[in-house]
Amino acid sequence: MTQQQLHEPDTQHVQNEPLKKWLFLAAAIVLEVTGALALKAALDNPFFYALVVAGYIGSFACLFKSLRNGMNLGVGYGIWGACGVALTAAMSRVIFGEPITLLMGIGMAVIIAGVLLIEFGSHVAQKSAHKDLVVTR
Amino acid sequence: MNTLALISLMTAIAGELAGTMSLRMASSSGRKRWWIGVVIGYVIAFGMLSVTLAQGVPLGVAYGIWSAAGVAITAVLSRIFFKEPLTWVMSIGIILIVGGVLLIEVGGVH
Repeated sequence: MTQQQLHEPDTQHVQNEPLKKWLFLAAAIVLEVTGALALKAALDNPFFYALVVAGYIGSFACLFKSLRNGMNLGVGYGIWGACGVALTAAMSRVIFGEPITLLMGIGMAVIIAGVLLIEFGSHVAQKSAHKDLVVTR
Repeated sequence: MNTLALISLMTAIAGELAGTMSLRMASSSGRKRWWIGVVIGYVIAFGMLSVTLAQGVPLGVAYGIWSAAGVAITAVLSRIFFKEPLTWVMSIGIILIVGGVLLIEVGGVH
């Protein structure tokens, strides 16, 4: 595949659906956390491995749908990965009583700040890209 | 961390990146064959991650480095290969979540 083909936007397959791309990303995060928590539960009860597999496959499917609806990979993958880690730690506290240390708490706050910055930054970047488009036309 | 642990961890990160890039290609090209790359990439990633753990590296440390590096390098590669916007504000955001992931994973190791 040439560089040219790689960069060419594919309007046939990728649409920009702002609401859908965030909804699918949120679903991907929830399913990833489900899979990660099921992995811990599976240590006691092997039946939970079915939920591990279902959670991770569903998570990738939703991440894919999010990209299909116009999510950028760099933004989407970062938020998906980081929110998954933070929520898994928070839910492990609720379900398994695992402690959240001070460092982990700081980490969660830092991730929230980071996600907000990325979200804000991508909005600004998208707006200016749109402006360029209008000007050149 | 010994040499084998380091090499297996780096291979695990490379597998993750190959899988993620394939997922992006699957979404934009609409060709199902890219899913083969997604599966192979992540099988390599998790297989190599277990080799790293077998070398005695704590799970939080290995998983933290693996996911943090994956997020950061994916953002840079997306900028280079797919011409995705990556402003200074967004870069700072990426650096923050990478730091946050490391804090949670390494902060949980006792």
